[in-house]
Amino acid sequence: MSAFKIFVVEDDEFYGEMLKHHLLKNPDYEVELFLNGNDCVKNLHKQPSAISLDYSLPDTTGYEVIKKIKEFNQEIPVIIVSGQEDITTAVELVKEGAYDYFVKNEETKDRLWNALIKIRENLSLREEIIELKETIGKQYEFRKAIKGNSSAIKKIFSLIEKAINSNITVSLTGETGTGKELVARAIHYNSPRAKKPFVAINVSAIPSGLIESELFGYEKGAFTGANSRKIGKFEVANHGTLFLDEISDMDMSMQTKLLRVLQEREFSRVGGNDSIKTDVRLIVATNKNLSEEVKKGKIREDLYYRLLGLPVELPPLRHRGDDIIILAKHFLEEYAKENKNKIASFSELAIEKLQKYPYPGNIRELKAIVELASVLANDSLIEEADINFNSAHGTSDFLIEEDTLQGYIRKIIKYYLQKHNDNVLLVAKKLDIGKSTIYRMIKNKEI
Amino acid sequence: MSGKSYNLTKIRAFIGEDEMVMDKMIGIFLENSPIMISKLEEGLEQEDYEQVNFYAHKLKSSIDNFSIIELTDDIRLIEKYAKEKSSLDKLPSLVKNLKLVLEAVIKEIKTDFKKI
Repeated sequence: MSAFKIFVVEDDEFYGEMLKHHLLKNPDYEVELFLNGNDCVKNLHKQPSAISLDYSLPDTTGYEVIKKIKEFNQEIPVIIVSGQEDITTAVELVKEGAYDYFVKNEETKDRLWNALIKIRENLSLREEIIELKETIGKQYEFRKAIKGNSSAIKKIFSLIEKAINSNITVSLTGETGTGKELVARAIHYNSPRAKKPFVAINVSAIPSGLIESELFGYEKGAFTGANSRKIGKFEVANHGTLFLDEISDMDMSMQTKLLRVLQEREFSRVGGNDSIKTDVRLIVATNKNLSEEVKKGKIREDLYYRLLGLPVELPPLRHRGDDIIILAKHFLEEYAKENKNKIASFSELAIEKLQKYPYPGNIRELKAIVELASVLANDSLIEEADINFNSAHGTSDFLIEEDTLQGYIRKIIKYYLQKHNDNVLLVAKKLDIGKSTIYRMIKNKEI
Repeated sequence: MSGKSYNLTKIRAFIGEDEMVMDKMIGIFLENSPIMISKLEEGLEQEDYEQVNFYAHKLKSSIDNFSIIELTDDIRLIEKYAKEKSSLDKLPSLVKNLKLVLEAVIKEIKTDFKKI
């Protein structure tokens, strides 16, 4: 941690020196004493970590000095030390951004000492958070976070760039597992809001009765069990980004409230009267077609237009060509890193098998398949047999997997036979083909 | 008079047992107090009670820190009267006494800390 530099601004040289030497008992502190306000302001470029400021100064008032300090850098905590007990002044100064207000008495030195310890703790926490955010930011540098070279994903890249450079609401659609939250995070961590919070909330995961207090918070006593004030996600995400996943599952009354917030840019906590201003960037996501949901009456039309903003439709993995292999190799590397193994590779047949599959569960499914293959593989080469598809979607997506017409015919007959307990007569009747065709195929082991 | 007219306990509590720093603190007091007294007197002469109040306020903290008990009430009265511009007729004698006592304390401190 960098040196903790304290400015003591005190026109009473005697008292100032006493404070200075008192604080210097902590070997980590650097203390500089200024006998007037202007000298303090002139030296702000030295970046003090905290300032102890006497309210009555010969050249200017504490009020003026604190204003100049805050203009220079809003983050510097300023503790007012005053000879007079004056509550109105104290309140005014705290409003102006003072950290605390102490009256000069026997306890001043100890209170100042404790306040500085607290400030220093906060500062080191803040530095840690900034560092962590930078690390996360790098992780989400979107060209690294979102892998792929296909034309489908390149279109998404250019849309993300547009989203990053504006404040527009982004609506993400796409099948399950296409990486909607990853894209939302990438937008946030590459936008000017990156240093403020990214708050994700899955609307469908929260019972409809609780969603309002989850989003807007509540006041103490708002309802039974509300024992203390709770801050909602809109407040937590202030100046940052709020990601509402599965937005189409939000019930109508909540939609009305959300619409109001988006229009007014302010809201009230449940059980509270005060309006709280909010500045959040909204990203919404759904795996349903939003305009269809409007037609069905499940989403308010006025909300739909508010939410639509910049629509980004994430392509399903099966439309992303060679990205499948790029992603599979990426997951293989990740798995090896996590388990401290040597990075494995795919055999040619394994790659072919991966490319043919339609991935109804998209990237999430591919990841699971690769992880399972890494476990099953005997050495560092992943064979065709190690690739197993256990899609929950059954065979309904079989058309997407490329095949010849004959191949499709075989698959269809096989599917019907399985479904109808190998009752050849029934299947022949249902598919309107001759039963001998089926018998011939069974005999030739085609099915 | 039993004992001393001042004591350094409060200052020691602030700065710790560091004689170099203590010498510096006493140096500041010896240098600044006469200036503040004359500024206070000047204010009184010119009937500039804001100036009187300002320097009384400053002297108050030194008087408290050196525990000059004889003056702790008086300096507060001077500060109060000057601020409220009340009982102004009492100010001259209070200020006169303030000067006398402080000059005696300064002398006493100078004898105690000859090296300064």
